[in-house]
Amino acid sequence: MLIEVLETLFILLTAVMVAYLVRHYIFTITVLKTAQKKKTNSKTQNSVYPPTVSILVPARNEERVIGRLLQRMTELTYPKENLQVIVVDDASTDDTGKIAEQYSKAYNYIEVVKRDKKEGGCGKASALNAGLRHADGEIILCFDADYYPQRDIVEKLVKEFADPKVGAVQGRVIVLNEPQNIVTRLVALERIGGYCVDQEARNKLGLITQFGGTVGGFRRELLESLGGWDENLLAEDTDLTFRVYLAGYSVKYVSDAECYEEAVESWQAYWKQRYRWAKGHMQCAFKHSLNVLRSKKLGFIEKVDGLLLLNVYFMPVAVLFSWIIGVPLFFLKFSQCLTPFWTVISISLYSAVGNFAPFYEIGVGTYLDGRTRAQWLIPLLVFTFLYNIPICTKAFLDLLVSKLAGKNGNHWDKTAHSGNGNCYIASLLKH
Amino acid sequence: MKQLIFGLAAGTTLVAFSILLQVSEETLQALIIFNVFFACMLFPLNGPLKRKMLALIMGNSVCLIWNNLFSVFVGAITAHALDGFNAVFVVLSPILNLLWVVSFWSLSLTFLANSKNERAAAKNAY
Repeated sequence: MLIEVLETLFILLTAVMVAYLVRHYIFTITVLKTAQKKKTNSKTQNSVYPPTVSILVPARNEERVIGRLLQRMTELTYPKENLQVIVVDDASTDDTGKIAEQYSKAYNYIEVVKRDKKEGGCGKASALNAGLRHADGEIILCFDADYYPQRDIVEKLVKEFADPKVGAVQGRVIVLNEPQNIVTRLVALERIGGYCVDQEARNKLGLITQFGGTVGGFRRELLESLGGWDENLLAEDTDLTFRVYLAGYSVKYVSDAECYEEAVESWQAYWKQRYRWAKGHMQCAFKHSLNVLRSKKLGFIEKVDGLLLLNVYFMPVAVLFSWIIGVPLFFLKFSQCLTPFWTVISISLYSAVGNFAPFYEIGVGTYLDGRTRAQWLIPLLVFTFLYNIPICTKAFLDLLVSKLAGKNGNHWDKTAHSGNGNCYIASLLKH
Repeated sequence: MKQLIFGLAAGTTLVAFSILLQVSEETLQALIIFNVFFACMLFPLNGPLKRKMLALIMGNSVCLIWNNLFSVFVGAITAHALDGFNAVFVVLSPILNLLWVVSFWSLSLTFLANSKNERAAAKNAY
């Protein structure tokens, strides 16, 4: 009886993993097919829709990078009379507030919202909500303090709001400090796969395009009607993505609205960041999975994609469980329904066709992005995948414990930014 | 599409040639998977056909060497009364093949890339 249950569980887990791998292929082939057409029709349209825009910049102890972003804000080509930049100094203990104040004095469209220790330091969602209360714009955009956007990024992002069905937009994130070390190089590859293939394909196929929490924004009316950012979740961006879709709006991905970010520089920082993302995503999965299934505003394919997106951080956990179950089942020859022949065939096919899918996606992403050497490191992504297994498993177990104990269990472990990306900006501007 | 068909035809020819060389069953399996994969995932991309063909031939050579070395290694272990290793081989072989296929495919992508294209256009926007 126990063996049968384990076998059924193993087959179910494998089926779910196969669904994700098929999704990788569908996304990659979609992007490859549309890439050629895009080349012939890549002229950007001039914006004829200049709404008032508020840019929120949540910042907590960002003295090493905030000046870079604010300087960039002064160089934006968007009409300054329609622009408001709000820096939320979230109980910083360094000079973040002072630097922001200097810019605020010099430029009248830059404002600083100060939060003291009592109200601040509760996470990004809380800081963004504080900024939203001071925002006047029709469109609310968000940028993290370590980001470095294109000069015309606001025009590129807001032009999508001319379509009344678009509730939110998302631009592309590129790693600024990519040459720094192996961690930043691998993160850069992950980003290329995520934006050049995943987001692009979702956009083309009309699926659930994800708002990534930064380099993007919302209609103010919609954001306020949704109640702003949910402060009880660690992945407030994914939560808002689903609330936008469940409200009948869509998120548009704008691939040519590019912004550089400073990626995590060490494996410890990678662990902290991914743990927060994994736990937050899992919280969203618990919150929204049923809502997605029941929604009348989403089609069948959107529901399937939404569920796959919501549950993506459970996959490394599923892989671990399928190893734990599958290896003893195979070697102890307990398997009743899987004969050796079919076992060998399925293992070969899964290993060859299935496991190649994420590498294929990222490889094609780098190819379409015009990279020449980044591909060499693609095989090393197997280590980041293996590293994600304990990260996601710990996040899952911690979430289960906090759910059983009836506690929130959230702790916003902020990613520290060293400012090492500053030295790459000069070379960026030279090209 | 033409390049894909050409790639599949070239891959089939190389597999047929390997059969003449009387390669082992496992090696043949790996060769078939590699050629189908490589043809489907590299040939449809833009790039000179000569480079793609060169990569395909090199890949087949690597596959033959890799699998022969591995089967010799497995033979040596099983000869020393570790029969259970055959079962491990069944699981390990496709995974180890995946490692070199991914590495080789990644390197082949760089053959196709044109250094003139490298993000220059995007960087100008900054």
